[in-house]
Amino acid sequence: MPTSTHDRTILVVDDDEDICSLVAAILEDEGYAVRTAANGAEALKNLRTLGKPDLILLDMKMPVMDGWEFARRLRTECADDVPVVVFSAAENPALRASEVHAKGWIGKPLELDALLDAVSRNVRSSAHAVAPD
Amino acid sequence: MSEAARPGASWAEEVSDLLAGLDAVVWAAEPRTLRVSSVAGHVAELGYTPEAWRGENFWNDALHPDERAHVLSSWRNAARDGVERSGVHRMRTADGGERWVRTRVRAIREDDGRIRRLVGLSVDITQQRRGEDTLHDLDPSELVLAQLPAAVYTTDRQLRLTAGAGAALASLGTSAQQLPGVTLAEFLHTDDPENPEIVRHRRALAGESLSFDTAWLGRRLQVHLQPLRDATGEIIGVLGVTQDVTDLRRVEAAHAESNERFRQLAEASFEGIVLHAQGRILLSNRAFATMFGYGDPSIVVGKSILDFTHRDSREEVVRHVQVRSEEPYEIKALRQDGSWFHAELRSKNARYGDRMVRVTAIRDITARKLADQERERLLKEANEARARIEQLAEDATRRASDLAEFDRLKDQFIRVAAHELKTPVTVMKGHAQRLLRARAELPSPRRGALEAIVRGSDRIDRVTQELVDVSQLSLGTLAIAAEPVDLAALVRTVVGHVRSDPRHRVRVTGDRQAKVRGDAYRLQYVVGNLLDNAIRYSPDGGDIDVKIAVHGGAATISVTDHGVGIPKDRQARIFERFYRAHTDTPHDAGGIGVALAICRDILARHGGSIDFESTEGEGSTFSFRIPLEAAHADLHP
Repeated sequence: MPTSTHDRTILVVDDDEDICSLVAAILEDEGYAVRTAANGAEALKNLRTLGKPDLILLDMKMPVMDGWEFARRLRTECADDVPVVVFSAAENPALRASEVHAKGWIGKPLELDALLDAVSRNVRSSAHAVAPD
Repeated sequence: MSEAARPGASWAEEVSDLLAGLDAVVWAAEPRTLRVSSVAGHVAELGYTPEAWRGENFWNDALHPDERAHVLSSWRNAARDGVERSGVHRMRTADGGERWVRTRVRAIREDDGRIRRLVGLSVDITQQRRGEDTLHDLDPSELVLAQLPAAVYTTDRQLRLTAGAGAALASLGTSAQQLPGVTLAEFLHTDDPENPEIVRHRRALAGESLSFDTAWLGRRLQVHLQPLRDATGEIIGVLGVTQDVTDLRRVEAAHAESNERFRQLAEASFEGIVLHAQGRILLSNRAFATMFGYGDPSIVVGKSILDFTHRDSREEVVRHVQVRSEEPYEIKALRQDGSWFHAELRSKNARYGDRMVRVTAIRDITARKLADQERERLLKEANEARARIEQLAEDATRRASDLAEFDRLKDQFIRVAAHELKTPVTVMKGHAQRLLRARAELPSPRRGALEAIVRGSDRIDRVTQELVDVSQLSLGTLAIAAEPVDLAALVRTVVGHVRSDPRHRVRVTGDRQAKVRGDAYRLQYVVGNLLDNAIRYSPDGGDIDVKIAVHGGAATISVTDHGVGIPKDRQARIFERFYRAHTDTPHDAGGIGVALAICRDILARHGGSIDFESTEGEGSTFSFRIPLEAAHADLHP
């Protein structure tokens, strides 16, 4: 896996700066390219300006635009082929994941192995990455 | 009158002279016609010559018209029955005057027993009589006596009537004038010496006082006899007082009959019944006597009804009697022994003989009173109980509402607090793990510190998550997903994440697939918690066996350890919230005692159940089962 992470881009969407920087550091340690956004609106803007990532790690409860709204807009306005993994402090992240048709979920507090496992299992392969939308 | 006997006079003349000196006349008369045949003696004041005496219509002319018939009848009776008669009557004088005469007649029988002559002795008693009349005139009670609705009479020792007075003499068929001189036997027209009236008068002469009723001329007479005494106390005759009681006796008889009817009616009643006049008891029935502890109804007669009334009720009884109330009322009735009972009184005013009385019925209502009191008491208790229950219900409702509000606030607080803790814990733990991972060659003490941060973070997270879960479970707000889950794979994933510990070896055996529908995250918690308990309560190590079995439409997961086990007396409560079987024991492994309660509730929400077997000192097996999903749709990527 490490060999295949270098060309993979992960968009981390979380309003908590500490979480963003932690997740970014972990993923960068593993060789992923990481972009961050503080809310759904920023994330959409990030997608439009910088293109589609290979995975979106999505927090649900955020100001300005929450995870549900972002997921809906992502499907209707941008792309429905970018895998989303819900990253939630909710009591039941699995439920959150199913609500937004996410590929997987990671609960908070963060379990490092679980995070890397979920990311590596759901991140788009290179074939997907080159496939046109 | 000659002062001396005339020489040569006949014996008859001599007797005649003697009689003349006594103002007496002896005469002989034919017994049927009563015509005087011979006469001796003379009463100058009468003025009749012997020839006049012997005249055909002498008695008709000489006897006072008022008494003529009675006197002649008496004499004829004497001539017929041979019994001597005596009486006082008036005679008219030759010159039209009036004299009082006592005449005694006796029939003279011949040898053949036939009565041929009636001999009479008539004595002028006018002087003597006048003295008596004077006395009578002087007596102020004469008028009273004459009008007395009774008769009073006296006799001498020979039972000869000497005087009589009173209006009732008429009903005896006589008058005050006729009585004197007549013997009782003559008056009664009897010659039977044992005649009951005569016997009674003789008893009075012997000193006895007696009262009796007797029949006379179709009337009922009450007679009182007593000895008549002179100033020295010697008995000189009989004093008789008689009264016509015919009407009285008839009324009395009617009265007695009505008494008897009353008595019979009253005796037939179970109620006590008394008849009283102004509170004085005249009659009572046996039930009344028995009710008040007296043996015999006659004992209560004459007593006051207040003798049967407790002092608390006397005023009321007096008031009812005074106003002649016929309203029923209740009193405390007093028994002879001083005890009392509740009684109900009902009175009716009635005429009894010639007076107004009250008939009062008394009923012992102690039982009813007690029943009333008991009913009132029960009613009161029931009302009080109902009020208490209503109050309790109100309190409970308010408390429940308060509790619900409190629960809601508590849940909100716990969720906010947990959520706020998650981010810092995540950051803390994440960096620690990153450092551990990135710098595999860290010196051991530093690695230990980072590991401690990770463990502490986990513990904080676990406790906060449990608090959130238990709060939501109790409120029923815990959201449970219903997705297809392969329980076998889930168990293996959880086991794979268990921290490697050289003391414990976790083995998974059994089916490789067990598809159920449910909440993977919650089920991970259940499995993880059972494994965690197995490890924590096996401080000395040992194998932990996890078995997956699909059987009978359900998946059963069991986790068996060889640890300390659960004491038998604590086994019943281990699924209770906040109950910790190992609190204050050497095996206390921490935690807040809600995990098993959460597991049980999560499984119940999946339609499953959890159970365990444990032996203290040997270990425990916890197993849960969840129904298999009917459709085996695999939605996992």
